Amino acid sequence: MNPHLNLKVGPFTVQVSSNIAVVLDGARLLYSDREIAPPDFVDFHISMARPSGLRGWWRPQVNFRLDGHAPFKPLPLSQALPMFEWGLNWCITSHCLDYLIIHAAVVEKNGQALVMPAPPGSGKSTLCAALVCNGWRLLSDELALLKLDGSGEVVPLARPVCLKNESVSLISGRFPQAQFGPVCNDTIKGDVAHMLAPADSVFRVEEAAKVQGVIFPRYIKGAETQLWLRSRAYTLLELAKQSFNFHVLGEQAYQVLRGVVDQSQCYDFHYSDLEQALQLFDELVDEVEPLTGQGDSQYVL
Amino acid sequence: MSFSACLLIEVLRTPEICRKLSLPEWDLLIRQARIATMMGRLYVLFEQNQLLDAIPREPFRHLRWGKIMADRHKASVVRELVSLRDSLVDLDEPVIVLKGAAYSGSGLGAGAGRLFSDIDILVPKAVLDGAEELLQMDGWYTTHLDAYDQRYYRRWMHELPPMRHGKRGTELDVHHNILPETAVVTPDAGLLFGRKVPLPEVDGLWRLGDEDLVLHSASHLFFDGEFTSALRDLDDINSLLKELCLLADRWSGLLGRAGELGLQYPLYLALYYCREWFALPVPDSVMAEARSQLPFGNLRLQFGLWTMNRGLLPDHESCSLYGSGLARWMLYVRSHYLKMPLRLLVPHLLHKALAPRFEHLFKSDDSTPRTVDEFLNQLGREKRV
Repeated sequence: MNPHLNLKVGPFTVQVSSNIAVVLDGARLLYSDREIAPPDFVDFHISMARPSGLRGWWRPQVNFRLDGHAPFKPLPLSQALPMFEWGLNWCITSHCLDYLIIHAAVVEKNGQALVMPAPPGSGKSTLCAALVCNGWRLLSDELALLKLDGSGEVVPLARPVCLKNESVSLISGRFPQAQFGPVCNDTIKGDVAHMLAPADSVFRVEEAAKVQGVIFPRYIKGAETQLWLRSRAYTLLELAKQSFNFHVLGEQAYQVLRGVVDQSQCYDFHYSDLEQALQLFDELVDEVEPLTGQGDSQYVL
Repeated sequence: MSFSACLLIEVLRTPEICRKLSLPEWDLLIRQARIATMMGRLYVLFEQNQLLDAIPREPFRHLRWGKIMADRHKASVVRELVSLRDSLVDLDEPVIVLKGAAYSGSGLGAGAGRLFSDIDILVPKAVLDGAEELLQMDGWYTTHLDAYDQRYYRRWMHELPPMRHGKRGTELDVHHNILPETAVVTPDAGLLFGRKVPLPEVDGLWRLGDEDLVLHSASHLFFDGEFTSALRDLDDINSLLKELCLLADRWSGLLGRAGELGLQYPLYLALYYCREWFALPVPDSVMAEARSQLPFGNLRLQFGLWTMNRGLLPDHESCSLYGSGLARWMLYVRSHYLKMPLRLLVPHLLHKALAPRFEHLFKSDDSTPRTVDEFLNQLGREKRV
């Protein structure tokens, strides 16, 4: 059997086995405080291995497998670590139905969690990385796990933040304390590096947080920092669209989203200046009164 | 015994043993159930045997996820069937629902906790074109746009090229028989229509008669090259046999019908494996009679069983026997040879092997590969059956 690594990632246990030293070393670095003793039960048995045959050594590739099943085509070996991260996203989103899962970053300060759904390229991860380097707690960079029990809470994963291209130098330049995994060049998303989750976020990974805001960020070159209210109805629709399992959970998922938008302020946000963005986000959680749950019915259309 | 390698089969056979499983054994069971696409099925089995309380928390949630997914599939399938019935109402010919959708639409145990990858229906060959037109008008379009594939399906296969719904993404196979006309055996489709039964859950649709339901399930499993969910299919057959044949002791009707349709071999294999692996009490006399219907000797049967023993196990490393890879490959080759005589098969395989190598010289490949990035951008807009 290949060497392997056991991790506790939020509510999941994961075992990665690999015949590639770089993969295990990389995963060990990115999840430095999460290694656990071999558990009796593992949620996802993942293997990352070179294909047998030609592509094992000539322009070598790597395969991601869950129990022998390969959901993706192989990638070049140099991209093994990003592939592990993407593959783990796949494992969670295509199996877990304990939560309504939304493609969004989630950060928290003063007990107020903000959900930031956004399509790739909108600068969501950059903003998320900057926020967590600036005192916010990281719940997740990619997957918001919304509880189904009506509490309106998000369960943290505190996984590494995936940064692309210029964002890597931007964040490491502005926040020297940020720790990074190795940079992988020329992936399908460009150059990619993972910023480690801050130690405090990892320490508090069992602590869920109540959603108080839904913000759709968008980086636009040269844009002024602008924040404006978005209708709760459209916010709900967009969250459903950005969800991985809304269609499976059905009405239950609708009720969860209804609860979330009712208890939240919903905004669109455009920015180009990171400093202004950080300042505005801090003001937001100082200002917003935690709602008392009477379901404010302000709909701006 | 060959199945002792597979914990999943032991549990399907004797669900009560789950009380004694250790957590590492549960770990293995969940992995085997996932690869066999039987998670929801297993949940239902435990539920029926009042064993849900005996399941530890860690594996339980995986089973529960499987059940939720299966319930969603079931609801979607019934909705799709209603819409298909409405689309094909002007055909004025019976539409028979096949396989999983039929089990589900009939409230049969085999449909409980099951996942579906597509919906299969059977219409008389004379109205095949009419059915296709009606479906196209309601948003179903053909896949496999390559001219060769279109010709191949329409000329040789027992079905139209698979169709997909433009909005909902559901896949649909429209059959006019249960095996290709070029296969070693082709049942007379008219006989199948002769014994059709109304589908209880969707008024106006039909399913195959009880015996035919079992025989089609068996011929699909044992004449098909795709063994990825073979154990699930065998469990379907076991459940159908239990519900439709065992209780009413209708073995002789089943054997007689297999003779009429020429499906003695798949029936024998179905009975053999349900008895051996799932302890289905098939009487010795029935086994002997099923065996006597086979037109070949012991050596060939033993060889068949050697390959099937391996092909039917879940394709998981924990269930691998000596020769499993070879057996799977042989079953794949066999399925082609069963579908077509060599004079058709050889040119077909040559085309499939060579055409792709030159295709890119003439056209760009728009069949998008499934990559991790696509997955991330896809965001739940996945196929929704």
